[in-house]
Amino acid sequence: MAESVEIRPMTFHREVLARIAPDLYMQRHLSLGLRPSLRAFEEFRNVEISDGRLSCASEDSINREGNNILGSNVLKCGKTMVITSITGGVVEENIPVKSEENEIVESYNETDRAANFGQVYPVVEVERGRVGAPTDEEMTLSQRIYNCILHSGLVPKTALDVAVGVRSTDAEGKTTITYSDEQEADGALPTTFKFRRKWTYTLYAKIQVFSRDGPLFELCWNSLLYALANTKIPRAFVDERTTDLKIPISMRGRSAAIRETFDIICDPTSFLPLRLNTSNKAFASNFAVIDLDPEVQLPKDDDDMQDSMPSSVLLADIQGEAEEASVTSTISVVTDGVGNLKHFKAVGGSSKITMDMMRNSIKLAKLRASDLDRKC
Amino acid sequence: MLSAQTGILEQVDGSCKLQCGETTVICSVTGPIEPKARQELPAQLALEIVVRPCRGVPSTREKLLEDQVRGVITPVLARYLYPRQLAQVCFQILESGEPEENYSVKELSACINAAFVAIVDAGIGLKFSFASVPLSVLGEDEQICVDPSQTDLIKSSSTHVLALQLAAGGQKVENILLFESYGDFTEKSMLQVLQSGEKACVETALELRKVIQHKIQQDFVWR
Amino acid sequence: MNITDRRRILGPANAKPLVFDKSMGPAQRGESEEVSSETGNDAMYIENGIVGNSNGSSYLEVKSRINDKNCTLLLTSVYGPRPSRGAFNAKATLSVQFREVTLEKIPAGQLREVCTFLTNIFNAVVNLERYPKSGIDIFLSLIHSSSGPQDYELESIITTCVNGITLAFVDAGIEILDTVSAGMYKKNITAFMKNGTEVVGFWKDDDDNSASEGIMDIVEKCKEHYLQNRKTMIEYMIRSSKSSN
Repeated sequence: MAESVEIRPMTFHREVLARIAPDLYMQRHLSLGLRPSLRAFEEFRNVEISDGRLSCASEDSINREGNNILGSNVLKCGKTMVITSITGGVVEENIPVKSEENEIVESYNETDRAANFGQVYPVVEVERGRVGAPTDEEMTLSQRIYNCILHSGLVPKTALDVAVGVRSTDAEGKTTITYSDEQEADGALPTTFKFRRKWTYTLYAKIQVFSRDGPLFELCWNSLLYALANTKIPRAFVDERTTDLKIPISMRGRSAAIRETFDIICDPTSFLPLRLNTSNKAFASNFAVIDLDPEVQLPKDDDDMQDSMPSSVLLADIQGEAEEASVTSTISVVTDGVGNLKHFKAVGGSSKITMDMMRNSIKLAKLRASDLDRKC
Repeated sequence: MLSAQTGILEQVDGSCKLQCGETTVICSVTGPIEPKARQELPAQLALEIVVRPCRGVPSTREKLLEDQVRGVITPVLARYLYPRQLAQVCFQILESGEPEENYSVKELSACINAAFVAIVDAGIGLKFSFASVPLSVLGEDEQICVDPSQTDLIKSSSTHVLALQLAAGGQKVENILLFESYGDFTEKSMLQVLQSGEKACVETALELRKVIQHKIQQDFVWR
Repeated sequence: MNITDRRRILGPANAKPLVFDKSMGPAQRGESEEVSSETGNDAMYIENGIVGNSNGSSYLEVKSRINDKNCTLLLTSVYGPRPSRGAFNAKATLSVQFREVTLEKIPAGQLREVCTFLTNIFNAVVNLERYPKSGIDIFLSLIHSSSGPQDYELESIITTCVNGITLAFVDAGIEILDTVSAGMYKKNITAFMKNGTEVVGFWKDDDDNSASEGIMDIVEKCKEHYLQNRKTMIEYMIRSSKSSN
């Protein structure tokens, strides 16, 4: 009757354990003072960046024609690769007819902070070997980056204004382009062409991620920042033959005037760097808070080490399936090197986020930001 | 400032209409119910969160709100009680109370508070109570504004949302469930925001407890 | 019905794309560069296994021998063989997806044609019988392509795709009958295997330059290019397997 049951410990290969019991795998590593990636707790991964020479405005571009990428970045961090390309568009702003006579006054709007900043429209795509509509992750990433760009005030609205020039053709068929801000150099402006319209650039960012290996917001944000830093916007002009046409129309007894839209043409040889608010340039880092489970710690050689073990630890730069799966509390900081924060997000899951950990994460993020800023 | 009614929808298990200043939101909770195959979790309750904007159709903005609400609700629900089941939490924003294209703090905070009351109304197990407040920091002297009005929000240099996990009758702060800030701020001002936010959260929690107390009194009125 | 995309942030609806003035572009300066010798090799840079979460991947950077402005950067990843749902299938099903990662300039109709062409080639090349009840998905991510005056040159893109997919299959360890590679001549592409004795794909576009030439001559010319490409690929594979040992 009494059948002896023998209990034998099971052993798994490293990868198998990481897949079937990520939390145990994680705790075993942590008790050794290491992480599954073999990094120390507060160690970041190295980031490699390049502009990929994709932009048509860059000096050594691999392609200048038929290319309207204005800024680009390729960021590699561990296995993950993020490719960001910035493209542009032009919007003619609706200015009420009445204000046409008045000079459009550019001043800092005290009552609406966000109105002073320009936007960038990001679309994040993460390759995952599936086709279909954007996933929730891609959508929340895009929206978070969008919010963050707007509220950080990185792109001043005035930087997106188009200083429109005029292209004139003289009797010999030679064309010259005159920009209003270059007037002083050229002497008097030949024509009294004055625009009663206002155009602004819109910037789009396409962010493509390969080999997703952990949270992506920080990588995408940093890549976008590098791409914006090397973004150059083309000078634009209209042909002198275009005139400010107003077409009177009447419809159902009401009359109105439609203004013909101008064709804005971009100059493929002359670019100006995008003027960013450099004081608002901030880099992103992420952290995780994880509780140490005393039951699965590996036995220590010397016993006096046991009691000095903290109950939870802060990990910098989350990487890999095991870390992401076993971590519920995360902190994400967007800051510059001296502590001007632009975005902060702490999500407390099952592990408690203490004040010390928040302070510590900001401290580390500042160091990281000044390090990343140097790569620009 | 804050007012809420429970049980306003009849077809769902729990519901709540919550008004907080200029923002109004209806939350409905259905569950535990049978999930779709792809939602099912073997050992825990799965969550489906839907946010509908006050006008127009949902966009990425609402997706981000859903993600933030999920981050708050997931750790406080006693999810182990309902393995292989699903809870649907839906929000309909009635009044946004903020410029929608640029801000979402007031909606988010109202959604989190409404979710708390609606989950209690639905009778789904909760491990902790929680409450949330929106905050903004105004001007040069870094004046902290709890539950900012629309004009204060637009003027502010930074906006914050704080959601806390509370214990001991909503008096003691256990953990930060969500603390999200945008704008221009420093570590010092952020920690100050956190401090005044904690106080405001405890107050909000007491308000919410009153709503629940009232609900229970109504439920057992025949006794 | 509202048909705007609500899952992406699209920006203002009245924005117009930037239009560059073609008449004064840098193209005017380098007209003479167009003519260059048709001999010599393409400059090809290969790297395998870049995409971590795929089963196999390859990255190809090709600079054309004919036109030094022609440059194609392509990242190919293969997912599979992975279980496919539904009815039992004795053979694996192959799918090809093509995406432009940075600029989108190729019309969707042409992309579909390219995908069908590539699917047909690799249906003949992959040993599909070995992987029953599974799906193999190929994702082509075109990072960059340029070709002087044209916006894009489909021929060099397709050639790179064929080579990229073969390398990705090798990286994934999926059984193929031979190292398939493609060769290009003017606007014609031929994909070969078995040392150029078997043709697995042929693509011909409207082209006045090669209209007078016989089809066999064109295939021969493509074969020269194929042999070069295949040599480069095999050299890379041998080198990388040596360094990993």
